[in-house]
Amino acid sequence: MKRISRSGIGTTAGFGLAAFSRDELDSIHYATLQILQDTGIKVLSENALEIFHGGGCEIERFEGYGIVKIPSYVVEECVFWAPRTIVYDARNPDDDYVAEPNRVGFTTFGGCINVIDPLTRDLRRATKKDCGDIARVCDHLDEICVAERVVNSTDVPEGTLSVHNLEAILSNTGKHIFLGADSPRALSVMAELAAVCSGGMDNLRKRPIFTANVCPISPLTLPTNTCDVIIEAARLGVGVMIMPMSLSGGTSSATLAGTLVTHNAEVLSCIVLAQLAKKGLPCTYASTSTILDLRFGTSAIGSPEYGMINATLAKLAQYYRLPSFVGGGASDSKVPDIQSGYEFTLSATMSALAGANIVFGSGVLEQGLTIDYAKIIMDAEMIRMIQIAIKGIELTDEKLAMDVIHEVGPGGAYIAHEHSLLSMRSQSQAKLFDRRSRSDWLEATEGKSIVARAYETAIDILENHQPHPLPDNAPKAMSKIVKEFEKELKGGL
Amino acid sequence: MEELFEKMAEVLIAGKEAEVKSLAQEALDKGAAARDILDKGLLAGMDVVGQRFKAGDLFIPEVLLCARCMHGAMDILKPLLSEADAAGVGTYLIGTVEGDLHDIGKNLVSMMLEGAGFQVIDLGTNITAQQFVEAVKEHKPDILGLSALLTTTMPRMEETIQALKEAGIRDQVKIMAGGAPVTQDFIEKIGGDAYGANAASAVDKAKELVA
Ligand code: B12
Repeated sequence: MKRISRSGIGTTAGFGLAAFSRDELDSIHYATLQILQDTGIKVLSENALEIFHGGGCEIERFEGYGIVKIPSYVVEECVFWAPRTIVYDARNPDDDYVAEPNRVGFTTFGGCINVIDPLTRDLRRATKKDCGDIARVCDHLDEICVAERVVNSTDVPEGTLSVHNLEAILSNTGKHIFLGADSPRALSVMAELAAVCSGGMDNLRKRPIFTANVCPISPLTLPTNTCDVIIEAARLGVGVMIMPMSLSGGTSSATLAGTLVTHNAEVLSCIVLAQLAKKGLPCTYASTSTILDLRFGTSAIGSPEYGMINATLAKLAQYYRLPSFVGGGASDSKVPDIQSGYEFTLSATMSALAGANIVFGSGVLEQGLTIDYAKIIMDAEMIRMIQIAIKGIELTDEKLAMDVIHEVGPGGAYIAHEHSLLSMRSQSQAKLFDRRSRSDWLEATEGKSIVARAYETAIDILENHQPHPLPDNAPKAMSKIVKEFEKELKGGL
Repeated sequence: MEELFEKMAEVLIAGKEAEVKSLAQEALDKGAAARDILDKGLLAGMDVVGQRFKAGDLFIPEVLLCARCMHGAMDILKPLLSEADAAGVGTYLIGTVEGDLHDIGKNLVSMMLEGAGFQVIDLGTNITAQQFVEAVKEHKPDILGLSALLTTTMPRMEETIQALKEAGIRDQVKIMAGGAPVTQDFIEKIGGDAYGANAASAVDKAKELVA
């Protein structure tokens, strides 16, 4: 039998999410332009107000802040200046992450303050050691594409947190790092740290191995530090990741559509500032917006709305042709239990299907306050499953396997056929999840729960994983930079 | 009259502002004391609202609607109340500490306190120890509430208490604190009086402190 070439037929590759038509995305965009032009953005930084003014925005001054009204052409032009595709360069070049449209990677949640100790299983405040340890686990996991500052080093002097965080993370992972900065000065010290690990400031400019996270304050406010860190990032040539956390019903409209609009306005206003400060500065469109649960007053990141909001914002980022970093996979459960698994899967799958470049949320519990090692490991297993699922089913001649179906015929067996031998390795593979028979499962695990096995895996990684080595002089040089910064701040107080 | 108070509480719980107001007026016309209307009608209703909220039966916007009803009726009562009575259950000064811009939780606590009959003075976010001291001197509140959401701004709570001590006014005011990273232990350590884990418990503790 011969099957010759087909002429163009309509095909799709992978499974996706049909969230919003082009027209609907246009409506969100136009609504956003209107907000930026007519309602305006409250800006607390004097430096930023000047930059907005110089860029053609209208400024109304009040005591301690200004309302910035951005004409639509400024918004559209600035969005156009932001680079289309971004490669997130990594200290280990093998880990460079290419954020082309619809490439879907995953990372953990960030900025948590508590950790469940993997040995004692007690809840405690996270330390700088945890910050490094968790980075090491993430370095080991192929399912994590870039590193977040998962927990904050809460045991270090004030104002130096972000600098300590970066030192700990650089020492433990070769992946690209996303983290916030305590101040513009802290950011420049962070750039020094990164430079030490990349062979100097010039190399760092060519290959920035970290991105500065900045958060607008919903609704429609850019605090001083957010603005000044963007301006400093522009000076240093470090990209910015702009992540509002609107809470629908609290700091944004109780209807999700309105939340999308103000969220979008907040991101775009930061992009305008970044591009006016430095044309072409890499900007990542980010979100961890969700609902404020209006019964309990909590930021419900395990809700289906978290998935809905973040998946659609990933679509909106694609509409602007910007790389996206959106929520998916977070949980409100207090322990790594079945609730945390269900919640992970729903929103992580939605954001992945939407084609988010980086889905942000694994490992986290309790509205973003607590991180758990077992959860990071279990989520990684599910990430692998989601990545298989979104690939979809290919309909080529080879995959349709008509010849094989004929050959095996009614009542035959496929298991011994050569075609199975060739295809078997593309099946999803469970490592931590268990697909064995009951007796095999008992034998292999002694009935130990998945959570217990996940903690063991994490501890094993902590003990054995060696991250990409730092340049020889780097640890010493970093610790010197950090110490000097501590001294500088103490002197200033 | 008791029946009228009950009815007032009932319509307040249902969030019907016009009816609450007209019942309050009716009670006044029939000779009830303004203070009784406040205590037995309005605050009694808000008590139930608070309990239902805690049980998860009411949503925050519903609680705020009920609080609005109460304040609507208060407008009628206020001219008839003594200054002390008009302050309701007590005066509560609240703010987010220096360096911290989180205010959703603080705002929620403020609104719930107002609903429970407190007169709330909200200083906003990023409030320095010195500003708290000045505000305590100026407003002489029964309770000062401090909010912090960042581990890095928690030390500002202790410094604020210290500044109040130095100003010699620590004992004039009860101090409560809250925010996600704050714990009961922490409050005890820094010499505060009470911890509020959430808005409902903040109201309960505040009532205990002024009782
Ligand atoms: C929403 C949010 C924001 C919003 C704040 C918007 C706003 N207008 O407040 C935005 C996005 C702006 C923001 C910014 C930042 N945030 Co934030 N944020 C949160 C988040 C997710 C929820 C807070 C919230 O509003 N919860 C809902 C309210 C209702 O709850 P609540 O605040 O806990 O309040 C309740 C109780 O605590 C109590 N309570 C609160 N105050 C008081 C006061 C008194 C007197 C009493 C009795 C009770 C009480 O009652 C309240 C009602 O039930 C928390 C995580 C979390 N789950 O807490 C992180 C979190 C607090 N933020 C965090 C961080 C890191 C930041 C930033 C530094 C990020 C950045 N890189 O820019 C900035 C800091 C800005 C600043 N200088 O303050 C970290 C803290 C890390 C740390 N070291 O402590 C957290 C834990 C999240 C995380 N994992 O990253 N954040």
